[in-house]
Amino acid sequence: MSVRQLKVLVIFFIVGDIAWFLPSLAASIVQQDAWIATIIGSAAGWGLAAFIFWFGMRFPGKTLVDIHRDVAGKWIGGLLSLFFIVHMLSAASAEVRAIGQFVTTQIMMETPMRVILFVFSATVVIALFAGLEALSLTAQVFFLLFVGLSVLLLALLTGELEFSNLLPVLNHSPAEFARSALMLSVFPYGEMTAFLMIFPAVKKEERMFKHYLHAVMWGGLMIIMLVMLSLLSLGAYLTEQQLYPTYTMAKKISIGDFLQRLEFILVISYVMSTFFKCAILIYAAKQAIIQLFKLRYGRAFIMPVGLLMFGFSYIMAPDIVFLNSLAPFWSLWSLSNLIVLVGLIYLLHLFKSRQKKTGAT
Amino acid sequence: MFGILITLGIILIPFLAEGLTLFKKRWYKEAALYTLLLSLGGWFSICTFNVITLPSPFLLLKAAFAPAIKLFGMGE
Repeated sequence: MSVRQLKVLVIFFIVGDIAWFLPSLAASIVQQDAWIATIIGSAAGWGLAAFIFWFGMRFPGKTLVDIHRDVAGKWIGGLLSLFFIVHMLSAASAEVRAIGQFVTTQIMMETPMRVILFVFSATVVIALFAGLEALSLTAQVFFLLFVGLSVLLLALLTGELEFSNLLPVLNHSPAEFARSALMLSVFPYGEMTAFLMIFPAVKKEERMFKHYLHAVMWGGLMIIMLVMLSLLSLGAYLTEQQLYPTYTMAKKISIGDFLQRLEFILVISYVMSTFFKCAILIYAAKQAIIQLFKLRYGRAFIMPVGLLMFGFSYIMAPDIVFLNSLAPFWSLWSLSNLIVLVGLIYLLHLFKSRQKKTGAT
Repeated sequence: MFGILITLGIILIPFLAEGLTLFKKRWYKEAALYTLLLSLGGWFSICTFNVITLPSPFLLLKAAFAPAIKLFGMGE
């Protein structure tokens, strides 16, 4: 896989399913200041993403499971890798559930959700069978469409924007900004530990970090743009109250009273980004299972992992109210996984390296 | 009933195609893990197709992080 393909996957991963719910999540805490919280959260998220890359490069050619095993030993490393697998599987199932929830509440209200979950899961399983290279090539092809549709959305919404919706500015306490920024940094960037299973497959190039960081920043800018568009076109109250504010925002597009109902632009873009994020997460889970248990024939495990993802996507939450209530818990879970699975492991690695050096001298 | 039949079909076809091969090759570790994951996925899928509501595993997540949520005031 080339660095260019990695960049595309990173942008798709960061945007992912964020567009469905992030504006309303941000506005629920800081209302019209959500755009400021998003900028702060994105800046923090760029730091998280940079740290994940830097961590991966400390152990060239090794995946997160290999790193856990080498640094923490067979049993503790195995336990940590198991936590990572559970996290990745849960996140992938949440992506599937996000699509199912959106389609059955906004577009196909009569269709049972499990049908949408099954169709989406089957598509992701097919992508897994095709492999990472095919997935990244497909992402490259669809990226142009994704960018084109996003620019079109921005252009079509310019007539609906009201800058007075951003007033008053900085009307919330630092604590509220911090809470909002935490979620806005962890949701898009906290699960990027999945890329620690992908970095070894990327052809090393000069200035790889620079390219990676560009992709991370572009993803962040897209999120900032979405939140701002939502606030400017709907206002803080509607952005907070709507289940899918970006979809509501896209419904407002009306050119000369004849070009209407263009919200499909948004739906296509976000189904694409959600699909690629889901595929990357489930690929990371599958690879981690294969490496953790040192399986000789990994391809056979695609089907069981896909079936797990499908089934779990339904049982993970009985309804959308419960699913939405998980937001703060999920953000803390992602953050603690990042701290324990990556941060503490690196500290342990540093400690062991220093002990070896002092032992050698 | 139809949902159970579909799920059993989805489980049996790969099991017959791949699972038995693992047993034949005497890769017992792979075969055991394969059977376990397929059974777990199959059980979840049967619940999904038959609209059986199970308690969400994320209740554990809520219980585990509830003190931190309360401490940071993130619950509202």
